Amino acid sequence: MNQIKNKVNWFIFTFGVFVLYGIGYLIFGESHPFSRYPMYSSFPNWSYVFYFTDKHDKIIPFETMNIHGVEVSHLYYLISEDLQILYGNFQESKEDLDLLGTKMIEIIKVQTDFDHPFIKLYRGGYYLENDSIIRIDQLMTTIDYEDSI
Amino acid sequence: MKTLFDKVYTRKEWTFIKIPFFLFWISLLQHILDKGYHASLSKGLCQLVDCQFFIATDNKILILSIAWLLGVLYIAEIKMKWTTFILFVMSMMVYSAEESSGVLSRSGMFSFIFLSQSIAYWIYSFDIELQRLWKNRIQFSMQAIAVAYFLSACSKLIDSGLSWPSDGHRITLQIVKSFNYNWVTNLNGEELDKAAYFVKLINQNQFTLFVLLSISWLLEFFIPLAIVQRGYARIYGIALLGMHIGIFYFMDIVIISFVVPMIIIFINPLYCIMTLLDKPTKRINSIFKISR
Repeated sequence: MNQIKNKVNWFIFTFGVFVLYGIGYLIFGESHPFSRYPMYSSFPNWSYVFYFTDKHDKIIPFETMNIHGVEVSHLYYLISEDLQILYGNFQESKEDLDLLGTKMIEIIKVQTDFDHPFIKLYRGGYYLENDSIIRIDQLMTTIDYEDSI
Repeated sequence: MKTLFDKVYTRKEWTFIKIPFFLFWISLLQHILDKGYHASLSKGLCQLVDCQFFIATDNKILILSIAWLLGVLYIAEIKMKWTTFILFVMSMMVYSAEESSGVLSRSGMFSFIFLSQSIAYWIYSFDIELQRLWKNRIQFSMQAIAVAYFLSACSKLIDSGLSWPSDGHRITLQIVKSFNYNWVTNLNGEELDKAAYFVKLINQNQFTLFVLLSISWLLEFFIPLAIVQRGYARIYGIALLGMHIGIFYFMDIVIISFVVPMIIIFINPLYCIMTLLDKPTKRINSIFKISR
């Protein structure tokens, strides 16, 4: 009896916090500090990159806005979840992309206070076809601040 | 050398964990406050509380002052069960706010480490056995790290099944994406050259990639073994570090809120260096005393 008690005690102390976090995840789901850390949990046949261009379709590097390309893509996935838009595998409709793009620019504008009067947001998408990487670029949205003024 | 790989948890080791851990935490906090994020998406706790307060640039001095005050208490071991708990709450608020601004820093485990340390101190207030506290505050932190890696392995199993390593040939899309993120950020053409180089390398070494991915999945899945004994965690930590170096080399990805706590708590390089330096110093001192 004492031996069993000792073993239970050992398990609680050695794995108690571990189990507690697992239970926390089951209750609260993907909500900080709980997560099942799904990054790269699958290798789907698609990946996206986002970029801004100006009126002449010249790329505006994100570093001029003090932001990184990774942050912009995170924004895309988080907004999609927020708006309950299914993403990935090029399944987003033109309307979805426009809505997501507008919201993305809105948030980036608040955070970086960029001063570009005209901006286009593109999504570059990659997929594999017969072992070759194919790229498709789609215009998500265009914002003309001069026009709105 | 033997002391680094045995099962003893020392006070000295705790000191070399908490100081770098806190300094790393506060430097990330400073980075978040400097960025001037805006919590527009209300994720996690921010659905209940107005998190913007915690990352607003206007409140930077106040938040940093509170954090430093907590840091002093933490390092000086004052009111630890409350100090670690408040650090946990504060960390949760700040990172939830960061996530609500659209940044996925995957820092849940990082905040949870403070809670695990708080649990160790709360247990100590009921069971006043100092040796047990020495062990628990480090071992519980190790558990918080281990569960994150373990769940990450489970995610791979849930989302891809056992074919995760063999699906690895499509990692080239992730590599292209990763270096393109850098390119759209700085327009440095070298980023695209790197992407092309690594895609070619991976296409030519599919079997090696399969083996490396399998090893990394096994490492994550069997991490509970590492927390059974202190020495195991250090060896395991070195293997995990190798995995992270590989990910960084091929994909230019470092999840800082994962890697750094793992290095500090699993490997604890400062403690290793001090222990290795300590022994020869003691030996020299003893020789010196004898000769005198």
